Amino acid sequence: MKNVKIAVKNLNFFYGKHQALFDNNLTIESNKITAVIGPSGCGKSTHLRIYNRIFELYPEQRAEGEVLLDGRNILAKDMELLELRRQVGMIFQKPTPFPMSVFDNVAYPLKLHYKVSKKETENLVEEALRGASLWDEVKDKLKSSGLALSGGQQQRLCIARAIAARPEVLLMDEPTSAIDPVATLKIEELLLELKHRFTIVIVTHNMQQAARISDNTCFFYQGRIVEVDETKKIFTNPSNPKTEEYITGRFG
Amino acid sequence: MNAHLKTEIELLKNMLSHLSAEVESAVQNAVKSLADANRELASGIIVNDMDIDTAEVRIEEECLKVMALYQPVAGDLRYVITLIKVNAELERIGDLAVNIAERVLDLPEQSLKDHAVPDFAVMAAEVRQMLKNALDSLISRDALLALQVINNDDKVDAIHRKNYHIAIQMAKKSPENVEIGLTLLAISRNLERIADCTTNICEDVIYLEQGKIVRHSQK
Repeated sequence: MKNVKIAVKNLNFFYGKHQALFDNNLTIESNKITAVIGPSGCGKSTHLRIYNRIFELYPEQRAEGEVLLDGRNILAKDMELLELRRQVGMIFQKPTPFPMSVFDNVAYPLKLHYKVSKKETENLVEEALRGASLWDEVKDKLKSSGLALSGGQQQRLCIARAIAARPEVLLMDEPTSAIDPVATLKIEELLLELKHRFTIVIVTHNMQQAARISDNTCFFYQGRIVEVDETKKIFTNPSNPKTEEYITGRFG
Repeated sequence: MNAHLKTEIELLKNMLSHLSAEVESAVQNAVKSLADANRELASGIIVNDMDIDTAEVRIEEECLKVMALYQPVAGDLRYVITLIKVNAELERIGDLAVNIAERVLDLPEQSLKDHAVPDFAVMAAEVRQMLKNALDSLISRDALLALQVINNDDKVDAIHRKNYHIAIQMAKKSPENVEIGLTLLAISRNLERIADCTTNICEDVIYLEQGKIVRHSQK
């Protein structure tokens, strides 16, 4: 593996007394799409939620081990959370636009993280919306509510909002499972463009999607990482029989 | 999953087994028609080849359907891809058996008995054994057996080279036998090509089992 963006070392995770992740070790390559697959409840979302520490919103949950972002342990006490969440953006299964205008949705992280003039904000919002392949569809309704957009558009609005913060990593937790096939295809194409600017980690239940868009694939089972390899290897000739069983639909 | 995919793959397996049996018997009959100078048997091979062609097309269509409907991955993917390739090799072997049968029909009956190149019996036995082992290695998914078949190909190549020299000597000694010599050489060439096809099948079996493409690699 050439450029390591994130290195996960001996990561364990607990919901109260229940251990959900066991000794996860993984490296995420820069400017690549890494797909995380596995049956429901195997810990893939749990794992992803550690990368920007949003699990800490729940006091019962705790992570042990190291997650090194560019060599820096993001689980360290002195990690600045606001800065971490700027660096590591997240897109969820259901689109989560804020109840405000399309423009304000995208301007929000700019106000939060950067001091920029009104004129600059306008430029950056346009840039982010273009980056999310949404500009042409919303340029005439920037003042209308983000909630008025279609599901696929809302999801791209969330991507625009995430990239406006100029993150380094984009985490996506089943970003297309709630939208139709055409909108899904648009988002997949978008991801292939975005990976040149960001490192992308995507959790997906859609095996074909993982095979289509990702460079590397990581298979989780019962809180453990069973196999990580190049996607083309995983889908033509996986090393671990458990991976084979899962992706050929023999269990899960 | 995917009880459907499993059923489909079972069906494909059966179709391919039938085709294998037909191709094996075409080769066996071609060799026999040569040894016994049996023109009737040779004609039969040419007629039966139509069935082989039909079966090949049906298997390919079925494989394409499975790919489109189930988008198999990993071992399932390698299996369907292997079947597509082996299917094409089997059809080709059928054609080579037809070529041999046509050469047998070309030869004057007496000349077959007089001039048969001595090594045909050995060569034909080698080729038939290779084909049998290749098909067994596919059915039992035995990469080791497949490798043995691949290694055996050199033996057949050597016999073919020897036959080439015998044919040249024949032509030199008695120029009126040039045509017979060329025909016998063509038969040898077809047998050698059948051995090559079985080698290709075995390379596909190794891909199926190990996910490694061993074609074009130095022995």
